[in-house]
Amino acid sequence: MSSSLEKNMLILRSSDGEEFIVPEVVAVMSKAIKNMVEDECASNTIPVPNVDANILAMVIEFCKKHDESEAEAASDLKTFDSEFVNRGQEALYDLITAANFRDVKELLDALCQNVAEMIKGKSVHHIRIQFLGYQLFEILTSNFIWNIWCDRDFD
Amino acid sequence: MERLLPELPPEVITEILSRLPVKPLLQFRCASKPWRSLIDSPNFIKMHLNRSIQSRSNLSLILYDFNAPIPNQLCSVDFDKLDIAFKINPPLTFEKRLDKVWNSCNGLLCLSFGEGQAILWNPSTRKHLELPVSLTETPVDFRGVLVNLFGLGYDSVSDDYKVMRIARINDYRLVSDDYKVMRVARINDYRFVHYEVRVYSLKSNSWRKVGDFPHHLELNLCTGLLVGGALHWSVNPKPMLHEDGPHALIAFDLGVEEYRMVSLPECGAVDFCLKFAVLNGCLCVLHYYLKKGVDLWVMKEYGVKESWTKLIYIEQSNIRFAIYLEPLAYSKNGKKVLFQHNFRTFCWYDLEKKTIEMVGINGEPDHFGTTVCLGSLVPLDGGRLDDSKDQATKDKKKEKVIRSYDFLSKESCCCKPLLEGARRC
Repeated sequence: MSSSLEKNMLILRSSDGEEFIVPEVVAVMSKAIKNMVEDECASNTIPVPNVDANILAMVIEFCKKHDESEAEAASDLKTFDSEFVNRGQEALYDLITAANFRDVKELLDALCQNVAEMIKGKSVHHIRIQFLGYQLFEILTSNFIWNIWCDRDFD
Repeated sequence: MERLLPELPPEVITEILSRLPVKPLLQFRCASKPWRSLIDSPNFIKMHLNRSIQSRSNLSLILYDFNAPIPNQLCSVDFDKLDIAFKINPPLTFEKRLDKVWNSCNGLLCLSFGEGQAILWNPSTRKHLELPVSLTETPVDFRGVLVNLFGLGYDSVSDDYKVMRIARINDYRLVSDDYKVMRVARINDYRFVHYEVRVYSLKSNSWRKVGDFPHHLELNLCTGLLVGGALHWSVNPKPMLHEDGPHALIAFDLGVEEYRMVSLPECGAVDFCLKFAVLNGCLCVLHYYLKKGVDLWVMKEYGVKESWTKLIYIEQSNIRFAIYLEPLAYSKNGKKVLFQHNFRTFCWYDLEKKTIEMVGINGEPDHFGTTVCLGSLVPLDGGRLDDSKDQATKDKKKEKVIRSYDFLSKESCCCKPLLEGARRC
């Protein structure tokens, strides 16, 4: 185990080579890292492939906040969560991939909830173009009638 | 170019979609083929159901108007908003008058109509299933009163939905052949009542007779309450004492199909009225003390007598008609409890401040009963999905072929007189 560092600190290395010094308590919020630490196959530095420095910094920020405020009021944490996940689609997807890959449950929960809120009130048209990558002409030409039928209200 | 959802791993997509309410899910079924097969899969339906139960989301209140001007109409209120009561129509025709809304289980409602017939209905997906007719066995020259009671439940052992029907047969002939005596025989006279119990299973789509009801039912305290895989009925184990008899609760386990008694809280007092209810999957007892108030006891751990705890005490001075309070559900943060009050309104009880707050809903009926129903995708084909689907597509193909023949024959019929007419000319 990482006994050489004071106070059980771990070093996480992102895919583009940047290093972050993180307390072990925070790092083990990711189950993947926790397993590595428990199996004692981790040296001082733990490589985190597929996750770049930007995203890793965000994930660490989230974990730190959650670790600190465990005793604090849950409502504060909730507002922090909703502000934290309120980002563009690009960053959101990167975060989701990182959270899923590293198995950070709280973060994944908050992110999935956010995406669910995003797509909740949208029409099938909208979903297809914005989230599923259909082209507009595809929809208009190939199955126009089908789409009208899909969009009918279920009330 | 923005990045798209399918780039995410499939388990994350499942995770995201399982957080949506039923209505958008039904719409997004049509968004793409992978989504459609995902949303239709039994695993996803179960995951969505469990998440809704855990997060207490997707709840709605189904109101049944006692003095409805139009038959077969119910109202639905979104539990998160509690603002407007929408009119909804159960899948019954004019001949099949809605009799009563029984309990709900995993988003399915059990409605009864006619003489001992029932229908299962998922109001969120609008799918319904009429249960096969099975008449209660009565003597040929039966004269008396027959009451049918229903309860719907889920049997986790065999992964099946079951409906229990208790037929309460009040046979006047047993008193005497004399008409005058028959009239005198009270409807609640226990000596002339017997019971027949049948259980319907959704997987086999058939009714089956099970062991007779061992005690005498108390109809006014509660009807089939579903807790912990068992349906609960209030009974009077010593019927000869008539009123003020010691009340008890009997459970019918849907898994093993056996009866067992449920222990009630011991509170020392004697002079109270009882009422049973279900709150957040826990069994509740309401003790009403005349001119004092109401106690609400909750059995936190099912089947453990020591886990009965007094959750709420409401004084009579705080609310009128305290005897008609009926707990429905916790609020999302778990700090309040919603009550139905006097069959006319709703009110929140704050567990911390111990205050009562009335709730007004637009368009609520004057006098109603309430059932809490979850929004779910639970299908009503009882896991017979694959066969029936294949069969349905086959049938459709056959129908198409037949229709085309019909079309040809009709055409030839139309042509014949024309041709004949031409010949005549």
